[in-house]
Amino acid sequence: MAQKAETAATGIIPSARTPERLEISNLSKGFRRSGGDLVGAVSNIDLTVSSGEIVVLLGPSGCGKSTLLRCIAGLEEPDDGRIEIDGRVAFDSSRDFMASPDKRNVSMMFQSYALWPHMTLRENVAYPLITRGTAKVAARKKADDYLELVGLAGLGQQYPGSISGGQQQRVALARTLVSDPSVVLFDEPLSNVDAKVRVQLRRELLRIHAELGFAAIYVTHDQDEAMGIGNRIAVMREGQIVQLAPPVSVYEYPSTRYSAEFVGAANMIDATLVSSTASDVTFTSALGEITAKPETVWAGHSSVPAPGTDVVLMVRPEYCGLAEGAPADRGTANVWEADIDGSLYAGSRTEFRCTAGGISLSAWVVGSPAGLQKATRGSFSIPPSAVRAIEIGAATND
Amino acid sequence: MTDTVEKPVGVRPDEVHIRTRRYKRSRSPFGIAALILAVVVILLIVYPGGAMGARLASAFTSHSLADVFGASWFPGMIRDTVVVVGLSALIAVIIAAVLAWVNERTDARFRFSGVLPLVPLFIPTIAVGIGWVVLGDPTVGFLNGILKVILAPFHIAPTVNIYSYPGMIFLYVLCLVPYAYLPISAGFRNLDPSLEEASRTSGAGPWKALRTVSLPAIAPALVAGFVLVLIVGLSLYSIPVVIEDRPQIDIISVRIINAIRASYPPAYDVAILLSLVLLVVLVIVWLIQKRINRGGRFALSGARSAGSALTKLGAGRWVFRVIVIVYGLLSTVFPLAALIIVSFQSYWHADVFVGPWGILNYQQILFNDPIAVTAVKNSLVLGIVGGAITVLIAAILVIYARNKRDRIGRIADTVSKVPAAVPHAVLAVAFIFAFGGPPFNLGGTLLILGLAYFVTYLPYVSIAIEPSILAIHPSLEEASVMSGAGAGRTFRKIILPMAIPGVFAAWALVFVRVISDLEVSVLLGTGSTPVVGFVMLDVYDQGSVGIVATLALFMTVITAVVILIMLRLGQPRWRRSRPLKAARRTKPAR
Repeated sequence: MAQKAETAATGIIPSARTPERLEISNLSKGFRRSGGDLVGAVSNIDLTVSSGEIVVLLGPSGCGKSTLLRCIAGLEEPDDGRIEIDGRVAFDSSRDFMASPDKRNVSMMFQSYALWPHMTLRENVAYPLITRGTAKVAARKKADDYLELVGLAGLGQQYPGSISGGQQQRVALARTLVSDPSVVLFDEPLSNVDAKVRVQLRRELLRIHAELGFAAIYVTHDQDEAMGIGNRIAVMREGQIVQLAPPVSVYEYPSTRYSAEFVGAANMIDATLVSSTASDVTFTSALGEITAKPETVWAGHSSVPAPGTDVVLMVRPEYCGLAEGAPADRGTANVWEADIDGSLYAGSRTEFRCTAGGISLSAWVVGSPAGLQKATRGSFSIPPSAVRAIEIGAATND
Repeated sequence: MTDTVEKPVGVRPDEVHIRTRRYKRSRSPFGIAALILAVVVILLIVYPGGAMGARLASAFTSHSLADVFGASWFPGMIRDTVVVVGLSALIAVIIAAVLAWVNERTDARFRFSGVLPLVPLFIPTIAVGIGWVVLGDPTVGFLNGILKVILAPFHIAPTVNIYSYPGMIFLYVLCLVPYAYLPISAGFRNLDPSLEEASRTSGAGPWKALRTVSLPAIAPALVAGFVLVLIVGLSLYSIPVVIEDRPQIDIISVRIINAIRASYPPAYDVAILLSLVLLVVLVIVWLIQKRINRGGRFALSGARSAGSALTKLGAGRWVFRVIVIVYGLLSTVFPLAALIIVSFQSYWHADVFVGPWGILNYQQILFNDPIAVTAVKNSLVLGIVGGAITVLIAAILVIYARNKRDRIGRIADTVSKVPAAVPHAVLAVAFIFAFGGPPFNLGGTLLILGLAYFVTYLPYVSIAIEPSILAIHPSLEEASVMSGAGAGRTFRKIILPMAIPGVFAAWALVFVRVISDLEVSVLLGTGSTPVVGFVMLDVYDQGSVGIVATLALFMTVITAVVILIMLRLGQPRWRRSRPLKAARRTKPAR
């Protein structure tokens, strides 16, 4: 309700168009090092972004996420593939066609804000409208509406040099959205502002997205940001998308060891499947026998492997338990005696490093348990529903 | 600069884009215009070069070779040129290094001390030269008049004589210091102060730190300064032309111009062979510089730490302040004062304090010399309009070379810098061969002057505006393109306004250069298309120092006014809102 009221107040009405705003198929782009070897910045990317959806490209620096974004923008020239924006071809290597960036109806928000210092905030925001032929008066009116939308009503006459970094980024957001682009591209837009402002701006961005419903691609290397903003997250590695799924799936059911480790902390345990029934799954490992639940351990995998297959099991440390003293009963499922090697107090939790069966494990315990911090031995437990099989068989790498 | 063009954001600097194929992309009108400009600029430089080369081939006859290399004046000319240019280059670099060190690294600097060494760049060189002639003439020089009065009680009468080797070298040094100062002060500025501080904390005094750490570390800047000064010194014409007759010091740049200007028919072969000598020397100097810098043992730069401590000189800083001030007096204040005084003397005489005074010289120029008035008009038009065109084209070329992964853009960028290394007299000679005769027949037109000025001063302009354009973060340009603007609109609305300070500074620079140009003006100007440099030398040859001084003063005043206006216009309005920053920040966003 509140959103509707605001829409009416600002006079900005979200547009309805075809559901697929962006379709990328088989896109590749390489760079050559001065030494001569070819570096695949981006290879064979397929990606579709629907109306109203934010897809986050998440990965470490150098994984090709910015290159992919700039290929979509038209600022980089891909080597191969096809990009379609709002049903119109923007790039097609088979037809040797590439539309220049200003003809693509996409807009981009830059890490460095990229506000023009010689223009007022209103002129900055009105610029994309004026370039597309909107009359000056109407453009100014709409620019003021968007400045209001991002919470900067009344500052239209200021110059970028006279406002704070957080405010500059709001102006950049207004300028990015004002022309009602088919796809909005965000290139790490929040990495230049301090942590508190970042959280605030992220919330604002989501509010405005709920109001306008634009389609977007959002590049970041910050997994918290990715989790909070994306409808889907594309985890990227060496120019390829290794997993493309909603945030919960990426975190809870990572498809590879790489995405498991990139989006959070993870315990990795090499194991061998003993049996898998409808109610229980059993593995053997250096720890001993590990029990898991079939509906969670195989999530994301198309089939259940045969007994005897090697797998890598992943458990998030916040799901693991650590208690003082040796296990009461040595035979209890998924509880093992462990050496406590050290602890790190992190405010909301204490992170314990343990060793059991020769494997390094980590468990996060809420608060600051004084007894555990002094102990050298404890019992380490894993709930069966927290176990995920992420790599199955020898065929998978890593 | 060309090798940074292709690196996309997010890619390591040692990676460059490889293109497997070229996609059909329609060129924007701006792109087409830039391409045409690039081609025109390349032709304007390459064609005269070719014409010169062709003429050179025909100049290689045993007759003309003997005319030059076998001539009795040749060894003397080489000796004089080497002594004057070599010594003054060396002294200029030393003085520039001291001034640069004082201004960049010590507490002896004061408000305008960083600007003082650069002021001579904005004053016509010939004004300085004639000012010193007025001061240092052995019989009627003002200095001698003053000395005679002051020293009369002591019964000694020393004479200052500007028409001498020391006088000539002194004037060369005055004019060359700014050119050495630019790269050397930049070197000191980029020098990581922690190097010096490390030496100081290791127990070295300020002198030892300077000698053992700072100077070796800025060696490339010193070499660059020396090379630049050699190039400028070898082509310097305005100083020797006002001095050389009396002491018979034979300078190559004057020989080249006189071969065409002062002999009938023009001895083109002599001019061209002497130009070749000059070019060969410059190429050798340039190769030596490359070789020295290739060693790569110069640890330069590193970000300057905030509030890096300046070397404290104690009471000694007054010594250095005096050095800076003395340079300012000698290079600017004294010669200009001399010009002012002599312009109001009814006839030139050594006694500065006694009349008769009058405005005869001004009347002579304004009312009796229509050619001088036309010359001032022509020079102003060429300087302002031609200068603006040069700046605009240079800006487009810089953008073009940076944005387009286009071979022609890069070639134009490189080629447009070549004339910087060619003496202006040589360029002018090449233009005579290329455009003076058929099929262009531009000889004796203002157009050939304008084109020659354009080519001559284009490198200075691109070097002057390049930093202010390259300093515009690429994302500001990309943001414009992503906002649906084409290349032309982005250039007009984003790049030019943001580069305004650099654009106006470059415009001011090219204006001064054109106004005070002698070499091109003398060789390409005519009685029907007079420009200031042409008229000034003409009048000087006739021996009317008062009128020449007045003309030079005229030019200095006009350039000063125009430059002040340009620098004023070049101040970006948007920066003035900066102080609001602190006040705004405390206010919540909503």
